[in-house]
Amino acid sequence: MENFDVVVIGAGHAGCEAAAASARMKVNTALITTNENSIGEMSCNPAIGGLGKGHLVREIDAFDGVMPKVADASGIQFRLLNRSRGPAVRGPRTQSDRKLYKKYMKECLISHCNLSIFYDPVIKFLFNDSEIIGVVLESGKEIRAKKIVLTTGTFLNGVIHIGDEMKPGGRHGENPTTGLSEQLKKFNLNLSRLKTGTPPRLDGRSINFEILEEQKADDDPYFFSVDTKTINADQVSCYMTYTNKEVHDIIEKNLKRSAMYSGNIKSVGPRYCPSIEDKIVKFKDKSRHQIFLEPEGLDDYTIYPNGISTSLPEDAQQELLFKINGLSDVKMIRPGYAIEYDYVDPRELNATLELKKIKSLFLAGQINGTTGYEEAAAQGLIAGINAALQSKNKSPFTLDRSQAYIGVMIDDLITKGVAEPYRMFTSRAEYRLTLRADNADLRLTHLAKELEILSESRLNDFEKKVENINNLKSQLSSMSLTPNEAEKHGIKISKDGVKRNGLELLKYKGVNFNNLKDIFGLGEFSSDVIEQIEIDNHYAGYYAKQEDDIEIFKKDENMKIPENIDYSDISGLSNEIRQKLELIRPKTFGQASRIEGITPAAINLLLTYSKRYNFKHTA
Amino acid sequence: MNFYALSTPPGVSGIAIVRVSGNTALETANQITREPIQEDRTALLRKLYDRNGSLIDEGIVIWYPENKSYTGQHLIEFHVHGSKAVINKLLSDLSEREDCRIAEPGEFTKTAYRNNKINLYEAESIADLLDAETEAQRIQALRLKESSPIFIGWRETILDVLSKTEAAIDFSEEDLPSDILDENEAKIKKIKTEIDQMLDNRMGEIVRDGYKIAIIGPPNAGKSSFLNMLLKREAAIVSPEKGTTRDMIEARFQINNQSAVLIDTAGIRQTKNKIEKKGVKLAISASKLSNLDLLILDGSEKKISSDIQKIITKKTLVILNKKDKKGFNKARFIKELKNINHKGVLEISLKKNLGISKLKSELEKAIESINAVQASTLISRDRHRSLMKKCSQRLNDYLKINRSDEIEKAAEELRLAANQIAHIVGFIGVEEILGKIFQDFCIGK
Repeated sequence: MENFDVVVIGAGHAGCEAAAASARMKVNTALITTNENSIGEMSCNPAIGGLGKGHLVREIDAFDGVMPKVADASGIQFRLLNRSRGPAVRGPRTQSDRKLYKKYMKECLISHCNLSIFYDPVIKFLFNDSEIIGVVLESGKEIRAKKIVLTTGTFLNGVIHIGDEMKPGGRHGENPTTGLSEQLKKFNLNLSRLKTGTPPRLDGRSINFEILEEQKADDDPYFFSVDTKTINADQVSCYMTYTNKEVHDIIEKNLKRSAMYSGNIKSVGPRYCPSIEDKIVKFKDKSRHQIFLEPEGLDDYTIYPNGISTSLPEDAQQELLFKINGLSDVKMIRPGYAIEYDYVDPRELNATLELKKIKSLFLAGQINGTTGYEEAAAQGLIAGINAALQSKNKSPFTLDRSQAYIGVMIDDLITKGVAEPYRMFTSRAEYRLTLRADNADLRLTHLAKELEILSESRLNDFEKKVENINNLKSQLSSMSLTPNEAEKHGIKISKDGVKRNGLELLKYKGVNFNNLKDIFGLGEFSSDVIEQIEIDNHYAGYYAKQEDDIEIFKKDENMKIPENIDYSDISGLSNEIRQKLELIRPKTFGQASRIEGITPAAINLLLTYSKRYNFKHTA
Repeated sequence: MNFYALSTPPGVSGIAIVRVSGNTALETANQITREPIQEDRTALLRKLYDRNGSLIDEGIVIWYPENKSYTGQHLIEFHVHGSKAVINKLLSDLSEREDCRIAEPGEFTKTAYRNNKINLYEAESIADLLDAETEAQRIQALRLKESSPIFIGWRETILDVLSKTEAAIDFSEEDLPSDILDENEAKIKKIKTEIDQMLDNRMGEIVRDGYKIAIIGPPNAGKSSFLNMLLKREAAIVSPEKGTTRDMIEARFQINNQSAVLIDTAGIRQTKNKIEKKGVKLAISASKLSNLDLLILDGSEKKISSDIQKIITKKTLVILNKKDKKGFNKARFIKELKNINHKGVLEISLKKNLGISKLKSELEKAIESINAVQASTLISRDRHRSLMKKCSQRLNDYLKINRSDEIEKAAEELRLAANQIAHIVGFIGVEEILGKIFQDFCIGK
């Protein structure tokens, strides 16, 4: 029997991040996975980041997390999405070499002190009343832990569907995890099923890329980690092709044979990531659907055709592929499939991602009803940090909606639950203009510093950056131009005789740092410092507009609901509302009012009761 | 930021109480009384002035310092005469101050709770009050129910445009329809026009100053005779000489128990006479400030002069006098007015008393439309006005932005605009939790 402070089960994106975070928190950590090859596997498309998702990865980087560094090192096509639009909605993304990602992730984890890795699947949880205390591995080994982070991905009672074929599986060629759900259910946890899918994989050597539209990498890559300075891997292109009428006819003809439409799959899949069957049925008028052909790696000819996730039978998949432009001779390496898996209603969780009903057990990733590597990793980070903090008897660490996309996501999950796999979008963030990918470090590093999760060099770099920003700001605010002087330099402002300082001048159209540098003779500053000053000015007007909202939000978030409140003791609450409050157990009045279906009258009753409660318990 | 509200029921009453709470509420009160308030919790008789130094009313002022007030902030009570005009004037003066804004429903109690001013007893009694106030709630709910479809409709349009904008942001990599943003501008323009029309409606001023009807027109068309006819007395001197009326004559007048102000003006024409010139200028400005213009023309004249054409607007009711005269020709005027926005054309003869009853019923109609709007209560209209003003500003900013390069700013404007309406109809998404908590409370509690 071995003992650890924190044990993380599963080495996908949530698990890796959780284990690394826990280890950085300097507690004795174990990571348990089925085999060496499963660390950092990208089960779906070979890309990291995107809109909203890229924000999450940048936020993970502020805590010195592993995903940003590994994604940078294995990136083979960096692109900043929405580049032509405002900085708040730009999303960094990269195609990643699947093998390199796994290799670098493994190396990165091994380099962590305090982290042991076991290749031995968990077959059983050990409990002491309503607290988890350890696990039993397939080999019979027993591991005890103060805290456990469970990241099962799609493995929990996973079932793979290809046409009418159904077989247990957690991922292509891998067995599912069984028996654990049943143990969890004994604690009255609300478990349900979700569905997701993946397209067939193609042999790139049999594709005619020459006739297809090419999408190249950006010339100046935007990295996820502030530590990354240069590109590590060669850059490659993606290609675009489309479905057509013939393809749609084949799908219609075979629709009854698709697991989605034969009735074999009953659970809900993501609306924003539909199977090709869904696209054709629901959007009949569309004559074609886009397909991105994404390379899975530099020395790998596998191509991931993004956009045709399917659970049609294998023969129908091959048939329709032949009809797609550029794929007339394509060799299908393996068919696409749909997968159903167990997830836990995330309203069972606290903001630390610990289960309310099972002490010391934290959940992260798809088990909480999310989809996406980045969403998983971000939860892993929070679960890992909190597991470590709790093992040291320290107070929990959470982020709120005004601080980070991570805060938005976790608040959404634990307050609203999920009806479909949850994915991050920039539109979920009310304070989108302030929560940007470019300022993730400025927003969060000071919090990471308090956690003592950062390396010394990271901290030094950050402090230097802040100093440079302040320095540039004070230089700019101390130098000014009259309207006449400005005009001589080609800057048009109204001739009111009022001097504008450098910061104010930046607000005018067409004025950037380089203009002012020449005019005022400013010193050299790095591009990330200049970027912050320019973007801040870009949004200055909106900060003021949002200030009132943020202030009100903060006040209400600070009004706590008593921890041990007994909802059955509050007279006047409807049963439905009582049940919702009981399930979610909101921590603040802010959170309570975000719960769907909670009326102002109910909040009022709760408020009156809380006051009386505090009165009783402090008197 | 200080917040204020009318704390007594809206409508005419003997005394009305307006409360202002906030860290600088005392300073605000000192500015209004123009005499520093030194005694706390003492009823002081003071004159109240607006920001321009005009007298609003004389009333009682009470200052509750922060440690001894209901809200836990400085709290000022103004006890004023309970007429709509006085209340309106005081509230609008407060609204124009940079450090004051209208209170959210229940904000006084909410603030009291935040500052730990409500203890167990008080919290309970407020809960009891809630039950006792069902009548007030019923009225409030009814009012919201009647007006909310309009607000909800506007909000839904904004959310519709917002959702398309968000789609273009979050799914820029996807194969979105290329025309997804095409109709957005037209949709927002349309509702902004509707909102601005609502805001244009200066009911507050009408309540304060009365419904203003300006009688305008060229000399010798019969304006003063018209005034005398309506008033049934010789209020203005009438003579065949052009330019008899040089000053403005204002007279109170009752239509359907509503008070209106009739303003007789000098005849508008080019003149070298200095005094008459001044009279013409006054006439033009009276027509700018009025709620309704009655343009009196001699129906036997050949045409409408260009000076007169310039002052015809959508609030101008054209009255062709001298129907009894030879050469009277309505069709000629209707043809001339074809391309000019106006309220309608009536024909009368003051001499023969023709068309007068038709004219009176037109006037009644115009006043009635005012009554319908006045039926909603004062404070909520104030609150709605300031929120809808902000909403309109946000939509205006939205229309000004380069919506392709700065799409995220465009989305932000829409989100903020929708939020303003949400404050009125009560859908408050992620924000202002406590605002929701106390929403069932009487306004300004």
